Amino acid sequence: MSAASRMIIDSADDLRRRISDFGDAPPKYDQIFEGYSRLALQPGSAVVIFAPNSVEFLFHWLAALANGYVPCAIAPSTKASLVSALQKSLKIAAIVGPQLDPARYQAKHFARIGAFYAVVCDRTPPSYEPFDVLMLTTGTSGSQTACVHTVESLVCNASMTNRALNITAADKQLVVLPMYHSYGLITQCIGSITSGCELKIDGPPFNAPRFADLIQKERISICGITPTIARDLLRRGTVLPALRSMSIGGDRFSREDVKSLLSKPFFNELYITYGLTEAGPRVSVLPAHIAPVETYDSVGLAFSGISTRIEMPDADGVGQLLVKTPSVCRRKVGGDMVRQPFTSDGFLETGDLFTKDSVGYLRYVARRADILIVKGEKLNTRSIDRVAELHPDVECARTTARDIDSLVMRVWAKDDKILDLEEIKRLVRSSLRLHEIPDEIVQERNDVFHK
Amino acid sequence: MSIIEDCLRDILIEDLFVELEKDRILPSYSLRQDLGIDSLGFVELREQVEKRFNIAISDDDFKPENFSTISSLTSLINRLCGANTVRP
Repeated sequence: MSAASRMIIDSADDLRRRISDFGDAPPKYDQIFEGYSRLALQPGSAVVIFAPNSVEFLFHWLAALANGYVPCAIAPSTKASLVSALQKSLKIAAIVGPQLDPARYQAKHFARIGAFYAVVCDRTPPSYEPFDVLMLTTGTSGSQTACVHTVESLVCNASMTNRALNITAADKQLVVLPMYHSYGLITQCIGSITSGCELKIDGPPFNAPRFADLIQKERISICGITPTIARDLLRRGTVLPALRSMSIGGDRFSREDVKSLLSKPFFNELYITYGLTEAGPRVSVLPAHIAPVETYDSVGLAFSGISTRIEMPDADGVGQLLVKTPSVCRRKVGGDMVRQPFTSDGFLETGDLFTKDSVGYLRYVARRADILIVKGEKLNTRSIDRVAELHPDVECARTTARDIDSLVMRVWAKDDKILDLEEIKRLVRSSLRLHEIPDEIVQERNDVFHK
Repeated sequence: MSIIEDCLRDILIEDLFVELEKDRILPSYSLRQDLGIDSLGFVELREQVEKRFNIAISDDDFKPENFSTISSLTSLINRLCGANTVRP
């Protein structure tokens, strides 16, 4: 066992003192550890854990790891059909979560581990090594793929983030984002374990007044939120208690957004970060509170120890961002993986289009998947979305190809307004070239706090 | 099981696609812990409750204390509607 694995597993003894949530007292870690031992799976067996944000979830994740299993956290709302699909594509040996129905997974028996239930569904030889960790990338790729990380790579990345954001044992961190995503689990939870800081775990529903109240009552010093939540806080004019540090995943954060946040007196330090699960996840950071104004539209510089380059840049310097990081995943599994996303010289292909200036500042342009060929013309759907987002009532827009000859744009309203779609059509028609104009625009329900 | 609790169980099954049989969803179940409702699910639940009970749930009331169980959500609905006058 590596030193990093030992440190993470041994941390369980200390967690009750430093980590808490708002639920009932969790079962003892030792009981959960023994529960996993009784499953008697082979070392390297993958275990899906689907549970809401809680200390108990973290105990299960650590206990699975400590038993030599490979934890895979997924959303608690994941439907049984998807879990079954994951079971096959990722070769999952056991499924753990609240209110499991064994029959849905062709199992007759279940075991009780803490407040959760576990079913063993496959005892075939495992596909992974002890102290591997599976992190799903479903949220961004749309298919059931996962990254095979090691505990070492996750600890490495969390430590890089801690150093870049000056997170120490003196801090108290608040988790409001899902712990089954890489940011909540690695950057915040493992980051707190490695830094020695306190961790307060909260979960949905999120609302601005409660967020402000928690920061005050719990004396929170650091927190991370999504760009959508940050914009919502700005729009509502939310006043927060002073925070030492706020970080925001910023690949779609604008210069104006950064200026607006910096104008608020309660953010002492504001960090705009970029990352992806494959990289462990964080890659770069812009410490906006001390950065030059002209860099506000960037995601900053790569962490020390991470190399980046732009692959085949076009005339404007735009190309796929390649990343070489010590926290890269070992491989990707599941779905229709036909090749691993690595270059021959060990760089990770991010699938994101960026520019990189002479100093090294990285500026996000689009997902490579945002580049479509429709009606024989290449177009960038993000640039189309941005036009619709100029409308004062539009929160965000997403354009996709309906078929090879047409586009459909989905729009979300601010404050649940009913949008005047004819007005939006006029706006996009006035700004875009003919082949870029969506053939249909539809309003979607508001999902402000969805990642 | 009150009329409100019964209606909430319908919402959970029909609109949030909770995969439990209706009679297995107990008023004391945690919406997060036992039923796996996530952030988007809570937004949907709020919308459906507002629509079916013809009430407005403020941001101040959209908090875990009121949305922890069917029972706590029932209490909120009763408070917003006025006790014993609810006709979902």
